[in-house]
Amino acid sequence: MSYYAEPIMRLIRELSKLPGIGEKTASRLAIYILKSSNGYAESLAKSLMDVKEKVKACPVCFNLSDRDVCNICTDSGRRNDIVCVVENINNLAAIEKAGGFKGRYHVLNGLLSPLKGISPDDIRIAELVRRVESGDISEVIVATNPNVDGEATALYITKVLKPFGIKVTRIATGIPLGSDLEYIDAATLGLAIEGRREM
Amino acid sequence: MSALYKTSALVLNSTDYGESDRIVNFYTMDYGKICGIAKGAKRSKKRFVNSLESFSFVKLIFAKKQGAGLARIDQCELIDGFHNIKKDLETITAASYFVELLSEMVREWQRNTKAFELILNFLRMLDDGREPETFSRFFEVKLLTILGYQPHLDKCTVCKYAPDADTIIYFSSAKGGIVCKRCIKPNENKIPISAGTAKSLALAARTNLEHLNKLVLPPLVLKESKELLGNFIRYQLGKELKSMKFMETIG
Ligand SMILES: [Zn+2]
Ligand SMILES: [Zn+2]
Repeated sequence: MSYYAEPIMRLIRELSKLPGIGEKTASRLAIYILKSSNGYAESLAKSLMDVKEKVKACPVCFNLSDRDVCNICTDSGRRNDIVCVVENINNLAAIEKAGGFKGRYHVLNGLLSPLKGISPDDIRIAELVRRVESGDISEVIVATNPNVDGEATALYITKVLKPFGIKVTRIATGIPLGSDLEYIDAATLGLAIEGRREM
Repeated sequence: MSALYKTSALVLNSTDYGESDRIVNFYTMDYGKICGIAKGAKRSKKRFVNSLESFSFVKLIFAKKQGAGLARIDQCELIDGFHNIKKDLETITAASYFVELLSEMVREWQRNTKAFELILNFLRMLDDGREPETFSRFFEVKLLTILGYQPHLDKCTVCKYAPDADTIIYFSSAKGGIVCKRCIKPNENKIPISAGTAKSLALAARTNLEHLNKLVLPPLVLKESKELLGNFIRYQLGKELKSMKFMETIG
């Protein structure tokens, strides 16, 4: 690969660290950037810096946001009393894409896992409890993936929210066991939220 | 050349790998523990969904090249998913502990049909609603026995005399068993236990699985058993198991 000049090599190396990008694709992208206008390269560089500098976790729901509180939390057209708990922002995006859900979210930082040793303190459960404690939430929908860790997380959330006497529901099965919400089609996911059952 | 293997197996654990694959650890009936890659498992709706989750009992076909490296999982068909286990957090945690303990205590490609049947039966018993804490202790003594690490619980490991009933004795992980009051050294690492606890555990180790549910461990025996077996296992493995730590955090 040494037939490329060093700055190109460096760009190829950085690009090939991206998920799904092999060395070949990285080379193609690098050459494309090299041949493109100065304006494009500048705008690309600025976009990269902006996501790192401007995007932060929303202090209410932990969705990613470029403002203090994210636009889902500030949207006055959404219900305050229903909170949907998801494993990560990809799953939040999948549910938003499915449409239909008009409440708020709570984005966990992963799932509980006895085998991976991931405990409640690692995934913002206390933050969820605090929200329920201080707010007027009447229902928490647990929309974690239908796998062992997803079930463990749902069971634990049900347990810690029990004293508050609110409704805790779980998205319906019909989603194949062991699958990831991210790859479920929007219609199925919409139905799963619609047909949620009480824990 | 890669050879093709067909066997029944239990899924110990699995993790996502890259964009679309999963790495899965199995405990197989015929080849012991094996680690394989299921290509496309994360996205594919049909091929593997349902069968690569922990505690799944499956029919497995995999290919393995000679030498080191991962097996390639060709087929994995669910026989029993033990779905009741997944309905209760304490049961999930106990089942996780079973698979993690087994996984840590065996090496890859070492067949042990007795250990295979043991874990399969214990998962089945959890699925049938057996009490997770008591059966975790039974699983520990049974597994240690099958793998050749059975703690000596009948007689003092030093003087070889059986301790009197209703006395306080000691358990020493370094000695691999109980030590009576006369033989214990003051500066030795030890756990005080009642003679009844040692007796109950020795009995559990000898009892057939189908009669285990008749064996009731009183609260004190349960508490002491957990401490001494936990200490012994930590001593054997040289580390704390993740599922054990998890158990403490969920209270
Ligand atoms: Zn927010
Ligand atoms: Zn002695």
